[in-house]
Amino acid sequence: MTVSCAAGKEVKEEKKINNNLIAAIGVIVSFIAIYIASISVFLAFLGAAGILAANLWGANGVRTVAKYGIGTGVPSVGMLALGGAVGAVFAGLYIGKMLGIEVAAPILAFILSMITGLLIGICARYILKMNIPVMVRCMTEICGAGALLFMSQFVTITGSYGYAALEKLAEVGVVLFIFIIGALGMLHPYNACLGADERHGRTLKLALATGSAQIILAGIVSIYFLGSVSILTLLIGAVAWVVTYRDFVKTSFKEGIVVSTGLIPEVEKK
Amino acid sequence: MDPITAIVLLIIAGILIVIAVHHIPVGGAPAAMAMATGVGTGTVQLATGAGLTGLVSAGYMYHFAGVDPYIVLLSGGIGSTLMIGITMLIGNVIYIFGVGVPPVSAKVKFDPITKDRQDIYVSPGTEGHGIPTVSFVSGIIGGFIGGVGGSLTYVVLNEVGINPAISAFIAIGFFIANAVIAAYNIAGTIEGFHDPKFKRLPKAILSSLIVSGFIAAVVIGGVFL
Repeated sequence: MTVSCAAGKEVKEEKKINNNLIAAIGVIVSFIAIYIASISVFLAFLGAAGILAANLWGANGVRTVAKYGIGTGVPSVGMLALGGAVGAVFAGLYIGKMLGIEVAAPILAFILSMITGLLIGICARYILKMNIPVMVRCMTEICGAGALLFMSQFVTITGSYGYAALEKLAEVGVVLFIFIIGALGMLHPYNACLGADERHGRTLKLALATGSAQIILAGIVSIYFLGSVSILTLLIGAVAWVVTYRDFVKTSFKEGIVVSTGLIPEVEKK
Repeated sequence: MDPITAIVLLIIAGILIVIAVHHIPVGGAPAAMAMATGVGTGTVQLATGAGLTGLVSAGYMYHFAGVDPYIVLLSGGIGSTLMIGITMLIGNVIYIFGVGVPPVSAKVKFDPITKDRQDIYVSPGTEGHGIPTVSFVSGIIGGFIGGVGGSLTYVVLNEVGINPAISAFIAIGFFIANAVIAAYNIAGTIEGFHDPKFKRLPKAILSSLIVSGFIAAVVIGGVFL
């Protein structure tokens, strides 16, 4: 039997990925994408960058908190990201529309969502006494990422981020689809990669792949709202998915532990 | 409906959801291998599945049947109860006839309802299997309370004038946020109201009060602004 493991070497060589950097990318790229994509339906495909960045940030948050072994399963953390953000996104967009400040609506939704996450984190840490030091920070981040993912999806699918977009998506029920693919996109990377041999970089690669898969789905749904323009989103998503997923599978093969059993290999016979 | 009543009703709904989740026998991954009592999936998945079924039945009654709101709530409760009941029944069929284990609780020596001896049927190295009578009854109670909580959220959001489709969307988010709080409190598996972990319920209620209160204040405050 031969056992070869390249993962051990990789871990030593890998540079530590900074969580703050991922958070910064998540917030800045998502906001820029949301605002630029809403200018014209021809730019709606740029929302895809927001989906990728927000999903990456959320998946990183899920990984950070679920690594402590919370006992309820990784999916519950991912579902919370979107569940906690729903009320805040609605309120932010609705208040923005009512006060006539649609431009500030995403920022308001994001802040309200972060506060919801903060409260959940504080409750979990200090009332439910969960012994996880990163709980407060991660819950805040996860809910914030959930809100950004929602709005990036809105803008990619309908070409606008306002309350009208939410109404349009809710009427046809697509908003629930966004909810579940968003949650799956965030929870799947760590859920699939967890284990003793889990590596940060590899999990994030899968997060990029799940983000790309969401872009493809957003592109398909978008055909109903924006027409043929959304083919562009679909194509970008497809290319991004092929590239990221291929990279993830290659990395997995490279780092996987190869255990050959059965007949004794030729080399050992000699 | 005035804003204060709406906020109070939403907080009550949140608390009902948290109480409901504590009643549902959740076994998680160990139960999937018949190594713990309960249904073999996570708390949030189980509670959400049941809660959303309740929401569908409540939504139908609210918009098409033209009945009083309390009938809508009851219908939501019945919908969830049916869903969780069927889930537990099919789970038990698989545990008994597929895996070949007797439904048994490892947390009590005698089943509080049937008074049947439990401990001698627990396989060594496991924490019970299947869904015994007491857990089944507890799950039915939990399903009903959760369904009422979920449909109360939906009815209140509709009453304050939010579009029905968006109300359903917010109700689902609200349900999941509260179910996760309960799941964090349970931390893994729970057998039902006879489980020692059930005593942790007050902490979850306090947490739900804070989180539901904030979400309710933000949503209702936004609508009435």
